[in-house]
Amino acid sequence: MTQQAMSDSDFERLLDRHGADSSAWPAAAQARAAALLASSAAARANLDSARLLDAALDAALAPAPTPLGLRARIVVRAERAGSRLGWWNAAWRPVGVACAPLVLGFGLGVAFGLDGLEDAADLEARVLLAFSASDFADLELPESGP
Amino acid sequence: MPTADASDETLMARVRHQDREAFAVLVERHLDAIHAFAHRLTRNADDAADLTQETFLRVWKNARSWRPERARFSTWLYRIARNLCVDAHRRRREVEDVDPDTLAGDAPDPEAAPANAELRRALERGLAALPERQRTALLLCHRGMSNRDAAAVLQVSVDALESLLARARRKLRVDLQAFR
Repeated sequence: MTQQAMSDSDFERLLDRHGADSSAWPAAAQARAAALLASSAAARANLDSARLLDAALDAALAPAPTPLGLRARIVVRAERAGSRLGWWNAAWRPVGVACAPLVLGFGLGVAFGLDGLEDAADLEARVLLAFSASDFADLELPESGP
Repeated sequence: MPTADASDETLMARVRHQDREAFAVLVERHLDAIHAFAHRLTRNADDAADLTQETFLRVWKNARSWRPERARFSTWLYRIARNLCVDAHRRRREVEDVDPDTLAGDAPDPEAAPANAELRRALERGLAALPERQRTALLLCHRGMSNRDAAAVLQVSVDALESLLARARRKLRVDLQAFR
């Protein structure tokens, strides 16, 4: 099967998408591009232009050496961060778990107040009120039953 | 399997459990590439080192948020680095009234031939003037990532990535036309 010839604008599009290095071009485009370059001065001029850009990028983007000691610095910082996380987990998580029933009990105590047990809807609203007094300051609670 | 030979994914599974040895191997494996990428994006040696460090610390602290079924580790790593570089660049622009030559980065090599120095300045100005996504696409792909991998980092389709590349290269070729 004969491949369709590449036009100058197709070739420019190829250069814009893949650069001037032909090894980076899609395999299917390489032979067609070579045929065009053999016959088109405009294609050769576009290739020169793309090569100039690539060479300028090569010069400008030459990799800077990674600073000595950066790897060690990163690992040490991570260890410190890890230690802090570990200390937090080791020390405070059990404390939090131990205190949770106390906090819950306090909340329930405030919610029930001195009124004794009330129905479920009232209980829910009062628990919310106890934990978020400012957010629910305007909340009207149902009147407690006798 | 020895730690040094383990895949990124295997190492990350251990980093999730705060395995420092696995983390050190990942840093060793990707440090130069991430530093080079950060340097390309920031054009500043000090910023590149700081942002590289922050990138890896984010990996350490947020290892549990990486989802291997969504992105390869290297893709996730480059996304973190890119986001940090973009944020740093944005903060710098907000703080300083920066002219394009300063944004273009470290001073050109004074030893370079005058014509080359002028070409480099023109390129640096052109790069600094590109929209961030076009610049990042070009800096990822120039002698670096495949278009497919760069598309994954930028979270766009390959076609959209190539469109970003095409616009960037076309603009820069025009900027450098006087040097042909």
